[in-house]
Amino acid sequence: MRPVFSLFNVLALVLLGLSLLAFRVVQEPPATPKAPRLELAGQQDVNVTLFFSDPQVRGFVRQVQAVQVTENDPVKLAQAAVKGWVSGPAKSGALAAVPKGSAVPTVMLRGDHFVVDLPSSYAALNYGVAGERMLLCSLTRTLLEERGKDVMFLVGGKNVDTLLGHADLHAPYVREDCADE
Amino acid sequence: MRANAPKFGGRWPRRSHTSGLLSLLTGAGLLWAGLAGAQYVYSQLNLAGSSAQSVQLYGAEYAGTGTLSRLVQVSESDGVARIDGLGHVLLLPIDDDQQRATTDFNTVQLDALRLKAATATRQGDKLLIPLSTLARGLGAQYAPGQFSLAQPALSGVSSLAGKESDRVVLTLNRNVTVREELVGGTLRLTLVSASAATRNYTTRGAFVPRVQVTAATGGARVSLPVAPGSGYRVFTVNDASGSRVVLDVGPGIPLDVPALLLQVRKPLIVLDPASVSTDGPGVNSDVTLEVARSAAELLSKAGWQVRLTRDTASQPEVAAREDLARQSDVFVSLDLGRFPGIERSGVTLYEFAGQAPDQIINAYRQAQSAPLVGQVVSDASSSRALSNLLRGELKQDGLTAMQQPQSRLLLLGEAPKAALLLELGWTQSQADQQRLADSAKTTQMASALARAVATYLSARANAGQS
Repeated sequence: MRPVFSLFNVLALVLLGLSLLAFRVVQEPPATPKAPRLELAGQQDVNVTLFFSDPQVRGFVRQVQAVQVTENDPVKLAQAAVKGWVSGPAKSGALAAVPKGSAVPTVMLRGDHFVVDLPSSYAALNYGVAGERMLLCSLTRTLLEERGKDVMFLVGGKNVDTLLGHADLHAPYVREDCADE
Repeated sequence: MRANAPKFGGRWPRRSHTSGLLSLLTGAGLLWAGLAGAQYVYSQLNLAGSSAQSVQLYGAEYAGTGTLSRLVQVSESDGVARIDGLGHVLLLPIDDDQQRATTDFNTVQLDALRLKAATATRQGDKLLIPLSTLARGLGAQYAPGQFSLAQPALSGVSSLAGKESDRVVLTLNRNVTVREELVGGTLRLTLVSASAATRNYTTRGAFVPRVQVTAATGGARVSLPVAPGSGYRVFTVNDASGSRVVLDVGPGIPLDVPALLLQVRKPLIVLDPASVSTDGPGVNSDVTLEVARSAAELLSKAGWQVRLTRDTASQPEVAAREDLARQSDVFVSLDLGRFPGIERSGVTLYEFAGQAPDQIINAYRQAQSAPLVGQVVSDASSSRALSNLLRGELKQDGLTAMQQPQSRLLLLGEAPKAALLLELGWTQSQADQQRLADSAKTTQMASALARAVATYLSARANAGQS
């Protein structure tokens, strides 16, 4: 009679056990990965120059403010500057060009040319000729302070003749259009 | 034979020596004759006040076409030189025989007159014109080395009464350029560079009762009324003794002046009251319309043509306002200053600065000296003149207005002539609210505006501009 615990049988039993163990391991569902921790990574403060009106609506008041941008992209920087421009001046002696809480215009950049889409609500502002110029020119000077040659204005995504009935919006605004008086 | 032959190195026979001398003299003589045969020298010429070079040919003085180009235009066709200038046309045959050309062998034509006189010739490829014949044809004064034109002068005014038109004849000592302008029922002729005595003439004609001659810087100015329904024509008659400007005026002559000049007779004033929603309790909600209506009424009563961009509370489309601005001779927008948080008050006059949005207007503004361009567009000085007048009128009423040039103004940029934006005050200012609520004050502003516009247009008309 052959022995039960022969070397062959023992090795075969071990191999069978290992196979069952391996089978069980591969049958197990994969572990759920843990969600990455949410972080406001890359946000940095950048100083930008914003332009506002003087109390007489004749000249421009220049104020440097820190705005937060996630990366050093010109469009994101310009958009952040416009957001700061809508928020208004941080120091006294200057007037905001648009009422507090107004919608923020959308900024696009094509080469050296900015395109600014003004919200339709801006076309309902009750401004005179000086006020309309101040709105457009303070925004133009804010954008062209760092880069770019000109700013083309759209209203509600469309080309228009004028914003409030005085200013000519057919052509882009350049620095010379918004010189100090 | 041998004994008669001259020896080598010996003296030449006397006969041979004499013959050589004669040959030398003959050669020199021929050379002198050749030079003398050319018979031309260059000399200096005073040509109508400026120094030029002339050519003396067989005792006659000639000048090249290049030299004469400052005075006349010379062209050549089929062996004939045609000279156009100072209202004259001269035809001179080109004689290649220089000596014959200086004589009266050839027949020349001076305007309608034919006579025998020195004519044109050539020096190589160069065409030469005889100055004596030229002076005779142009009515100029000539002496060797001196070619001068008499100062044009108006020597007489005569008239002839007709059944359907009257004729006025202006006699001058030489031809001048005549500029004609019909402005506001007055025909004005400018005899460019001509001198004249300032004087009024009366006629027996039914259609031209009087003629006014005025000495002015650019030339004599002749003004006469043209009645409604009458036309006019002007033409010039030249002869050797001088020139006559003939003017026919009357209902028998159709009025065929360009539409542009008809517009000048009735300039269009456009007033553009902005529709403003005012927050101030003391301000009349439509004070701009009120002032525009008052000013328009005053101007209309005085005979001016006025249009408002709106006559109701609602603001018209921008395109309609732009259309009226483009047709205007004077365009005035009336507005109120508005901006949140402002600390400003008072009246401001905005003038358009920079380039107009229309390229055609800019192109015309570059060419202000061209004829009639001043009737189509005017430059920034017109708006400044109107602005100054309005400031003066407001000052008389105790209001000090600020002037402010501004670019990128839509409607003012579309207006081809004088254009202003009159900001009557600021809605947030208490002082302005009180002033604008006072109807006497707003009426004063309307009167000031009407006076300034009327004075501006009258001055332009008197200056011969639109």
